[in-house]
Amino acid sequence: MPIKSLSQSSLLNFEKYSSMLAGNTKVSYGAYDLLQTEVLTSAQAEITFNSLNTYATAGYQHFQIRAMIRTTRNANNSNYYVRFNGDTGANYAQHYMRGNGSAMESANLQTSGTQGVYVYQGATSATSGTGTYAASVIDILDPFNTNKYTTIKVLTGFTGSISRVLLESGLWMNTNAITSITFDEYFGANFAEDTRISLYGLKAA
Amino acid sequence: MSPTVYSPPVATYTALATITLAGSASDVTFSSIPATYRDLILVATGKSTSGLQDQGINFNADGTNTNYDCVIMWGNGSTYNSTTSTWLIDYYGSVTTDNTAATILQIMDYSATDKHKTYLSRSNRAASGVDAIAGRWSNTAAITSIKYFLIGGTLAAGTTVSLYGIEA
Repeated sequence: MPIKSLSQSSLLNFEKYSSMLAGNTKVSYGAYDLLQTEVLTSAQAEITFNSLNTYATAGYQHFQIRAMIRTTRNANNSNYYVRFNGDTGANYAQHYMRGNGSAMESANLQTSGTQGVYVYQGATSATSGTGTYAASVIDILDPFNTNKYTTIKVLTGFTGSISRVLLESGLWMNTNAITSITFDEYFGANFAEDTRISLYGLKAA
Repeated sequence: MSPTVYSPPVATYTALATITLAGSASDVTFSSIPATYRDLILVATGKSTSGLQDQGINFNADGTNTNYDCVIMWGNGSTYNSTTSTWLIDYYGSVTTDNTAATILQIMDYSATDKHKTYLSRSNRAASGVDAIAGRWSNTAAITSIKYFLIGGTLAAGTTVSLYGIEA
């Protein structure tokens, strides 16, 4: 390998660097990052995102879930659980408001649920019509703050043989930092092929 | 199957285009949208040249309204209800000649060719009301263009529409 000349001026140009990346483009993963994704190639009962505690040390403040979900349940819609850290204690509460195309309603779904916050009518199912999937955008706020219960907010909906749009709230009454999130079909059916669930992280300033 | 873990994480929520109208126009259209992303987010602060106007959306130049359906829930400060429509993306969050309406539209799995295209809209206009909408374009084609327009009016100068891409 040929030796190239090294002049004094190239070493002493009066610039100071505080990083070994001196002279190179700074690495930035942005403020909104894709962390994990599952796109099912066949029906599956459960999807879990693990090792989420590593994202706390990486500087993430909030999570967002983006999902397109269909289940194998023999019905025109379904629900799915969102369970934190595998907790099956009576620690979940939630409300919703819903439009069905002709009326609007609101209800308290559970005050001490055991399997998770469930996204009510957040999935299409076997009789919903070909090609139809329910969309959900779920914000999970301060998942690593050990002084707060974990709160989630949901916007979900679909159209097809029936149509629904819902705003939902959920609470995990536990101050532990989140280490895993599990999604489970509510009625014991499977998530259908091509169901997609993606996890994103929002950085703190 | 287990999820794909991205290490390092992938920076996303990528700004693809922003259009601010300098004069009135019948629509704002984003063309040649690449299939690089999984979801799209459209952010609109629209203005009309005259009166309250609802906003609509078309994909891939499909102007047949029976190919679209949506379910709406709305509140206007004194009452609330739910209804259905075709390509609407607001109800009480409609735009007018001022600049007080805002709409964020989540277009999910737009590049997938095995699903109808489902979208979620949240729209507000403080003086009118608030609404949430779930809609569907009954087509499995990847979305390559989006037309944003007013159902019965003309977009005014100052209308701004931005498009973002989300990877997955």
